[in-house]
Amino acid sequence: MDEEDSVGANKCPVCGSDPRTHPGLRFKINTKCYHRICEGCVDRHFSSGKAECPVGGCHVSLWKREWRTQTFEDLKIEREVEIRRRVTKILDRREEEFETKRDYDDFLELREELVMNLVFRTDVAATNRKLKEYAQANGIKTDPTDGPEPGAKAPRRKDMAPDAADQSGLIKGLKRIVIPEAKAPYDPFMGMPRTREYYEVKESYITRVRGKPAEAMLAGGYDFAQYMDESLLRAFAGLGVFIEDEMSARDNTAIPVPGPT
Amino acid sequence: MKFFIDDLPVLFPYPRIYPEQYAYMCDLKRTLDAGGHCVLEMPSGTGKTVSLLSLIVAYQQHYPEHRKLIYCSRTMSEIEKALAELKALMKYRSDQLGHVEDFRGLGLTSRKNLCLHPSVKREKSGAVVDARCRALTAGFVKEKKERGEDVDVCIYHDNLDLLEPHNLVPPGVFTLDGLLRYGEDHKQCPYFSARRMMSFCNVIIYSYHYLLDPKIAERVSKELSKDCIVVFDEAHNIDNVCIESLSIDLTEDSLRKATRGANNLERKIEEMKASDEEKLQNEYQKLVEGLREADEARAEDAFMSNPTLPDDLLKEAVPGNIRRAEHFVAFLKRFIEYLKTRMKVLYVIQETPPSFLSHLKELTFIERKPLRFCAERLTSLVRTLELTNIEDYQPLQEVATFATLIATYETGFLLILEPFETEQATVPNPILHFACLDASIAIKPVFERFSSVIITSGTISPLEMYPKMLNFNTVLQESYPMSLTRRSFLPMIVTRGSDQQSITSGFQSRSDPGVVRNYGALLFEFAKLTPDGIVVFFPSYLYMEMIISMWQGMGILDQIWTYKLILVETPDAQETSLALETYRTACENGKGAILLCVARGKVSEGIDFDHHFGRTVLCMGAPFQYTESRILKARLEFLRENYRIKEQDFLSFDAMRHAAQCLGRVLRGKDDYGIMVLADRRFQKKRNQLPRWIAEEIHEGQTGLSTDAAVGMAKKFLRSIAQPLVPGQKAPDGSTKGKDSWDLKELENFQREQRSNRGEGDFGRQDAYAHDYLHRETNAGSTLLHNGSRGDVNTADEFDEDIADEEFLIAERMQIELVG
Ligand code: SF4
Ligand SMILES: [Zn+2]
Ligand SMILES: [Zn+2]
Repeated sequence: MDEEDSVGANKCPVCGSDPRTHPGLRFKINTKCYHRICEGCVDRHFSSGKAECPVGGCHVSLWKREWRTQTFEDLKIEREVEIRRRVTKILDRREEEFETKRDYDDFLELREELVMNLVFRTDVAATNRKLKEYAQANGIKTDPTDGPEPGAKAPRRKDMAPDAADQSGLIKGLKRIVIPEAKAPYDPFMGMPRTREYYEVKESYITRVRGKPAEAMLAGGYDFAQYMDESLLRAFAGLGVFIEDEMSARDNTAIPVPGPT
Repeated sequence: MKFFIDDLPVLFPYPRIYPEQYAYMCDLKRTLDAGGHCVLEMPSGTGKTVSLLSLIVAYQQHYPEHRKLIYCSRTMSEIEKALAELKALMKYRSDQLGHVEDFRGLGLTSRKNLCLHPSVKREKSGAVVDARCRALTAGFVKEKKERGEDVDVCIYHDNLDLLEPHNLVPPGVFTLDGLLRYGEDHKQCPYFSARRMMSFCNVIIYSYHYLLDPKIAERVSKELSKDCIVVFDEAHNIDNVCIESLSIDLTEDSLRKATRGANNLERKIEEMKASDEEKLQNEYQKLVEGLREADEARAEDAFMSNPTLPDDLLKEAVPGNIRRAEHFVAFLKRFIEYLKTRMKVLYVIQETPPSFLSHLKELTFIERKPLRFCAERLTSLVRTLELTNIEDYQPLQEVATFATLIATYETGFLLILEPFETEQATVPNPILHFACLDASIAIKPVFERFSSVIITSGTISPLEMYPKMLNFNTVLQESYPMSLTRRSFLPMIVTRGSDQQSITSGFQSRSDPGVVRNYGALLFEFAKLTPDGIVVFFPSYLYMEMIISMWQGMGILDQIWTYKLILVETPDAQETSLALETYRTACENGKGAILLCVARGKVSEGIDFDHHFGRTVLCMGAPFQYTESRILKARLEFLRENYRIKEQDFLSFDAMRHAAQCLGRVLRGKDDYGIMVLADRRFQKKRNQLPRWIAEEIHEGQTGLSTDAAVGMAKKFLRSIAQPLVPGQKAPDGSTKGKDSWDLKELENFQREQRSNRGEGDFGRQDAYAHDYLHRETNAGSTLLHNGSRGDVNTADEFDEDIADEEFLIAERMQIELVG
């Protein structure tokens, strides 16, 4: 802020109170029109719901909760930071997400560019459009008011590769999204066939110990069917194994026979 | 005289040598041979500089490595003195050797002292001289000139380009004066001549800052090779120099000016966009590609260089969000606004850099990375914009320095915001201190880079404090006694007034009229008996002012006035130099005068009161630091936690080194004499923290005195010293014993004796102990106060009930803080 500015503009533009005559006077600002009025005026004008900003000529309508205390002495900075907050929330990428440092730097510059556009009110419409597109493409909620409608499909640009990290094409140089290949579930038998060629396991067995059903055998989660299965496997598993055949088969693969290919 | 230390021939430009000089040289040589660092304490006035120079020059000329010497001192006059010594030494060497050695020795000081440009040199402030010189000598100015544009240049500078770059000045030693004269005769700039010749010199003499302040060191001392021998002379305050070189203070005013600077930059960028867009684009392109203008950045005309140490420089490209000039300026503005916001707080804040950075990020979205690049980016921008009125951007530069430092260093630094100047003030005048607490940070690269670093001073006790604080290892630490044929100075500790009340400047009895009157009486008595000048040191300006006004009320000043003129040091440098001049005149002709000054002021550090300019020095109170200072407290805490140095130990060490400095002011040579009075009961317990050469002269009978006893002793001393000392008095039996100096034959006798001693079973006993041995012979009369615990900062006496009041208070306060 220029120096003359800060001296003259220290009065409340609405009621004219001056902190020099009213010690302890506090000011509030809002982040829509960045007008700065005293706390008393905020209370008076906004106590009954949404109202227009009381500063002459300004017709922005505001809620009381939108008035807050000012962080920076320079309102331009205050506004810049507010814009920055919004943009950073949308364009939020970390260095690790980029292919190279150079790409990250380009991203930083792009973000800076967009922020500056908004700050200096150049290309505001275009800039906002870009941001919005990006936000929609990446499923980022911006404002509750202008967020993507539920169920709306994010627009996809035809020229974008489907695995590009940013579908709106705003940010370049992001690492491609890698979908990890689904792993096969763990097989404790390491590919051994589990087909039962020589026997069949019945649905249920009636277990008898000396003629009576043995309840004790059912206790403790003991699965009789499994037990049967295992016993039968042990009994018959060796039937189909011919060691000589297997040996020769292995030797053949281990020592390839030279010949025309 | 020419003698040998081991196999090294040393040419010493005097016919006689003091035993301590010989011992000092032996230790120096051992350090250089071992290739390590050392701390040496050599009594003031015993020819420390000449011993140092003779040995090191002999060393570098004798051995094939030709190790270069970098000799750092504090003030202009010390640098000039050293240069003159070097010049005399080299002349002596060439006379003796019969040929002129190929040798260059140059001194470097600021442009302000070395400028020849008729209008620039008349500027009062060094910063303005620097800035104006840069405007005349910057690279782009030359380019413009070559393009035929009409720009101001400095002819002295441009003439240098016509000379051979490695032979701007002929070989030999140039004093600063000599260099100025040579520059004037040959119309070449002395400053740049010296700077560009640095790497071709055998001996470089300049101020500490050229090695310790990374902002300067980067530019000036970069090319010095690893095997250089680095000497820090008068190094008793080196820790403070280190700390200052990495600390920075910001005020509201400087922030306001910084904003103005940023606005100016913005305007300049707009202008350049309209007229010469290409230049900005070029800069941008370079930054994008991460091209570091490696050499250009270190160029002589650079606006500022990176304030961080070389190891901490980032080697990567400038972050994307400050690549564009306009983005960077907006970035700076945002940062400044943030700082302004922080300044608004009305209570004291102490914060670590990480906490500051996280708050900063929350509020302004400024990240650490770009912050670190601030200094570098600003330099690049200033160069691109071809700014000439650089002094306008000084505050902005400060902010950028601050930004870079705080983003670079996490530990060893503290951010302290003090909204009020004093406790009582009601109008805020905030200062944001970025305080370096760790002296070892700035000096670390020096120890790492150079194989031999020698830290020496007349008063650097207790020796082991320095390696601790600066975090380095020594090959050896030594303190030399002063060999005297008779007592030429009389140190005394006065603890009581004539009325037996104990005197102290301690906090509780500071304004006690009894104490003040006793101090007055003490000064009055010494004013009566001392011929010529008396120098009085107070612990602080505040205390001095209070005492003076109380003396005025008691009529003590009027009494003193009948004997001596009274002059007072003030914080204003010009007033003080006027007072000093008057004081000197009064000592030259008349009854003499009294100079009242402050133990940490300019006078105590740099002014010598040799001979009749100072016959008595009075320390009115132990010069403890003002312990309420938050920066000091933070530093104490840091020292305790990181280097295990207790608060009390550091404070008493610090007080005693300043007291020793004050005492040393009056004794500047062996033919000088003087009385040293330490007037505070707290000195009683601390006397063994004084340098060895002083402590050993404080005999048992000279401590715990009352004013009357001290006066009696002083009178007797003055009577005994009535005749001037004849250098090299012959001892009655003609032997080397009891000599304060040796001629060549006596030295050789001594060496022979020592060699035979070494052979006699005392295995491993080398020259290292030469001085202890020699001490036995020379000061045979004095009681040996020196024992193993001397200077050991952890001696038990720190915990006596008689401990200094201040220390108690701090200890108490710290406890309260811990509890609260
Ligand atoms: S180049 Fe040398 S003489 Fe010229 S202005 Fe700079 S310092 Fe002065
Ligand atoms: Zn109002
Ligand atoms: Zn409004």
